[in-house]
Amino acid sequence: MDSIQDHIISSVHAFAPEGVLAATLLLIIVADLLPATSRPGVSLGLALGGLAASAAAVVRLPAGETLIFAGMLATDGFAATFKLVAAAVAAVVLVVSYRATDVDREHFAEYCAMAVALSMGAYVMAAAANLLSMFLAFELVSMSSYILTAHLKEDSKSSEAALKYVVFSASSSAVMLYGMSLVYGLTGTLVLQSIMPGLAHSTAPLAQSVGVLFILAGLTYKIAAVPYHFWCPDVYEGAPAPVAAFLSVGPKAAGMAMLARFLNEALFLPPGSPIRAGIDFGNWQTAIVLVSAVTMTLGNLSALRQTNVKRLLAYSSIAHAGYMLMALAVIRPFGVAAMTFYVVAYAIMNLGAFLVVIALGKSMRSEELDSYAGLGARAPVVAVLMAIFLFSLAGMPPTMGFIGKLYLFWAVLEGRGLAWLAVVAALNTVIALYYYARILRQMFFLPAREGAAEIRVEPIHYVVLFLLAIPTLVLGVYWGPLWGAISAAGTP
Amino acid sequence: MYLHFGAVLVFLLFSVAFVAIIYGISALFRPANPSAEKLTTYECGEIPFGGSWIQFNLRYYLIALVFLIFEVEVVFLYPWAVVLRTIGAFAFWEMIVFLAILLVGFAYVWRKGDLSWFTPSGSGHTDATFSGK
Amino acid sequence: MVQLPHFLTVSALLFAAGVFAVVTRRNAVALLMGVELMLNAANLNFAAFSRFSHNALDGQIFAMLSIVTAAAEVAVALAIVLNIYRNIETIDADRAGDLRG
Repeated sequence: MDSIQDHIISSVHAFAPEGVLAATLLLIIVADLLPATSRPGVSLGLALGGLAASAAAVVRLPAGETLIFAGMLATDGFAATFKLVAAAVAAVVLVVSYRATDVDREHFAEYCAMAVALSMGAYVMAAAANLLSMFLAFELVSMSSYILTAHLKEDSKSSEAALKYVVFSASSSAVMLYGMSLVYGLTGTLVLQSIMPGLAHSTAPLAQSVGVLFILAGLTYKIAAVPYHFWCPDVYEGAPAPVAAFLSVGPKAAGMAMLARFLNEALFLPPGSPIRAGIDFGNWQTAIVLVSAVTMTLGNLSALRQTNVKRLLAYSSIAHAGYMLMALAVIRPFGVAAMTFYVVAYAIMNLGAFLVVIALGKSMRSEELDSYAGLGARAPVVAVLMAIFLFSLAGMPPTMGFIGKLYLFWAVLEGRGLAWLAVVAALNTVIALYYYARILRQMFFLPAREGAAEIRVEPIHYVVLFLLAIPTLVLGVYWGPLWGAISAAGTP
Repeated sequence: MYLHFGAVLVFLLFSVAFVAIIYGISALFRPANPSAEKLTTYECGEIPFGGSWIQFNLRYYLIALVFLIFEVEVVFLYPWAVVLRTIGAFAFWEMIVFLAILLVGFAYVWRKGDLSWFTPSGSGHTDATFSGK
Repeated sequence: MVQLPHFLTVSALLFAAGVFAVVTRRNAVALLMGVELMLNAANLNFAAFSRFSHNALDGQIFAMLSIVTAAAEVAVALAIVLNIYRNIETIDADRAGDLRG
């Protein structure tokens, strides 16, 4: 009994980043209750301070492959990378939201608190090494996402999007939980690393397949991959724009991390291992490859006929999930590093593109593609920044998106017999170029409509836009140090 | 390689067939002679008036929601109480932290006026939280 | 004597009923009930496996935590449903006010 207590107490310091976020969450709520500090600025300051402190705690943790809380969480470099991404994304979204039109300033404290809760969930998702911690983190991220989506209480579109989100998300997590219960029953363990040896001893291939398939269904839901993608465009369209930006990046990155860890630790048999299971990674590799190919193709084809910029970006984010999955199908150090690098690139460029929509929303009051006509003349700086982000999303040099895609293709070509997947991805890149170019055409080659509103952008939005555009370009020509850091962080 | 996916397919087909068979059997055997009287509400032999789908005050749902959240946390208190003596101070303080976090939530609900039946403005109308701006 | 297979059968039926409700129901509250059935099917599995086949507590702990999580999730979901209802009603009230004015 004492040894368990000692272990738990000694684990607490490695849990500092999440602990700091939990304390921040409570502080924001308490500050909102006191009349003296119940102001949006205070909430924002507390949230940013908490995120910065937790990021510092992540960096200060000694690197090393350790499991804390009796195998609940892993504190490795892989988790640390994704935690830093989550903290940075939340900070950017909060700064942007402070001056965005479709965020309710009266309830800004709740908004900040939920954003912090979402990041905490993302931290745990990145580190979860046990079915229980996976489920709890998954639920924490989901619940804070619902509340953020429903943030505009007066807006029936926001509530409807939230309801759709709740119903789909709750059923997918129920399916995942059922899968987990089957896997637990067959293996007698919840620890990811012992699942494969456990499955090897079981004699029920049907239950094995159903269990693992159900868990994978829940995970692909979180990253919005086909066939669990249909909630994504509706939710992004109905949610406030900053929330849509957050949801398209934060939970998706965390979901990729959790999926990578699950595949790598629970389903992957190292070559030459003595264990022979009824199922092994080979089967799941086929499944992931198929999901990846279908996801990117369907996402891109659906994006072609969108007229709302938020919906277009939603389908483009589905397609990007397909690209990232591609590298996971070749699960070895290189594939994981390529996926992580692409997640970082995607976070920067996708936030940038959404931020342009947010910044323009204030003056245009519209997110339709038509209203972007003549933007090159009306607001040249914003138009050029948008062009940079779109080029990067399309994977054109010299941007970060190009380098990211290069590593993804490289990883796929290293995998045996997957050249056809690289061809599919290349064709998809061409399709994607077409619809990104449609936005560019609206902005630069079409005249503004009669009576188009004058564009005014908040100074803070300009600052953040530049802060995102600079790495998009710089990391497109000088990516060595970042790639080095990511590949040194290792695999889950 | 695809054999186990085949097993999933069998599973799916079986579940679809099962539902279809159950529905088919009940459709075969049940008599069907609908009448208006059958659709009325049964109220102990009295002649019913009004629909059974009446509108409850929204307040009830709000109170129920708040109750639900705080009540379910008791799930953790029972096992804790059973082993408290064997674990000792460590478990005690752990639970205090947990309860303190819950208390912040409680204070939040209280301060936002969700515990009072009548809203602070005295209108006595349905919602305080959901009154928006 | 009730054994593990009995529990698993009940849980599978519960899960199927839940999926059926989620797929066929149009009412948001009924949908959430279906989700609850699915979650409880999984909880039953956890508790049964933990008791009969592994003789370990982790499954029961999992079931307990997931019960609490499910309650929180349903609370959030119902709050959203209430909010939608309130929005729709407000729209109706506004329309009535316009006509009268």
